[in-house]
Amino acid sequence: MQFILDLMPGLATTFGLWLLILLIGLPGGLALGYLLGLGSRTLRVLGLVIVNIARGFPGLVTLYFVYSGLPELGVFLTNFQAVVAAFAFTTMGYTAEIFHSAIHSVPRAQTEAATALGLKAWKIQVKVVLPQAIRSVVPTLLGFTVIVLQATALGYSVGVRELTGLSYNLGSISFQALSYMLAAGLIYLVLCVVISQLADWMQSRSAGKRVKRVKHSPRKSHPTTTPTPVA
Amino acid sequence: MIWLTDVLAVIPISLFIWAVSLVLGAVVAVPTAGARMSQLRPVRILAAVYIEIFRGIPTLVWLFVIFFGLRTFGLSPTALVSAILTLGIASSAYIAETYRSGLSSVPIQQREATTALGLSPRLSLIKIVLPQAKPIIFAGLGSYAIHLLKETALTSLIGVVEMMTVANYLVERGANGLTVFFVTGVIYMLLCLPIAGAVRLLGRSRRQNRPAGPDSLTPLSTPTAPPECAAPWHGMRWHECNSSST
Repeated sequence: MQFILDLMPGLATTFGLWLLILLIGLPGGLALGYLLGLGSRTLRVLGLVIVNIARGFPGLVTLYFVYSGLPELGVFLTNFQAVVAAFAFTTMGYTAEIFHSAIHSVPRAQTEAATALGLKAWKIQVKVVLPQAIRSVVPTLLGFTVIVLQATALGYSVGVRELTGLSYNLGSISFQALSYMLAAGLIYLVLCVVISQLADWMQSRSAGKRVKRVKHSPRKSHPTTTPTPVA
Repeated sequence: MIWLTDVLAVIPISLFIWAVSLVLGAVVAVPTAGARMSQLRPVRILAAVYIEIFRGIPTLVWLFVIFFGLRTFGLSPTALVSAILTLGIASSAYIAETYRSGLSSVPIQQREATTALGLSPRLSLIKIVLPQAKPIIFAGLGSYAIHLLKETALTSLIGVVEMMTVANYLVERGANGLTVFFVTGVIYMLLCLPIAGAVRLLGRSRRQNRPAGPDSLTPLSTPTAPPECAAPWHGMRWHECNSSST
């Protein structure tokens, strides 16, 4: 128990990293997802290159690249900033695909109907497409936040005193490395289980809504109507 | 670019760690998946706890726990051994879930039909269920194998001499960090390509190779592989990946 209490400052740092990564990475992923769906060929290729690098590089390589590679270009980041930058980039790459397919899965008829109503292009995206797209990916994104939480453990390698780094430090000071590591593992485990349960719960809830919605929607018996869009 | 040869020279070590822990994981995952789908509730719960523990804790923490833990028990494993052990056991949890999702993707009617025909459970599994689960299992296994190759970079943190260790050493000795780490990342990406190709080849279901015969009339029995999931660096669950499709 004492071990877990000792690790609380590390937990705060881990949470800080986690929040910042998601705050930067998720909007970035959304923007990148739009880039992937654009008509312009060069922009799409650029988006694909970014996504593939973000997904293809091991997290540790990206982190070291940002932390000890970027100074060559005159960009000096503290270790905390480097972790945020590296994993926000990785998050961007992974979520870009999720957002891209979500935006793509909103029926075309929605956009067409909005155009017919005379909505401006950006308003169509913000008011019609995005709400539908984002609602459908919330459980997926929640599951992804667990992965981001686990990735922050790599902050240890550049000396950030988050949960793993702090427990390593305390462990080597007190010669109780194993106990501190186990305590850190326990904290990670609890956090991950809680978030995944939340994701499961949201998913089952939205699935329940979906069924209800289909049941109650007044459906004309016309075989060619597009399926009811998911609310 | 002389440093490049140093990085290239240790590729076999990274691949060795990858291959051994993948095989270890795939083998240990078989009884784990069996236990996870067991009829007995306590066995099922035990397997679920095992899987959840390994998936809920970052691999880096596991590397340290096993590295320090074995020391506590008086063993003194080399960094390489504990790295392989950690990655192998951790992958067994992920791969067991892959097996399970593959097997449970086969419609229950298939198994019921084999019971009705009087096939033994063993024969029904080998001849009926497994061939249908194969595409999904291989898809999951493939994305995990790619993820595992990237995880091997973590073993540098407990002192295994592999690509990241060498790259890091070179940068500390004055090489340009920008190029060294970028090239190392590209090497990892290139190593993933043949894995992805091999998986696609292995996972092709036999049905797809056959000309469309009468059995193409039963589309229900062909489980479709899940849409390509963003292969994450910490093994996302399939059901989480699929939920984006409406």
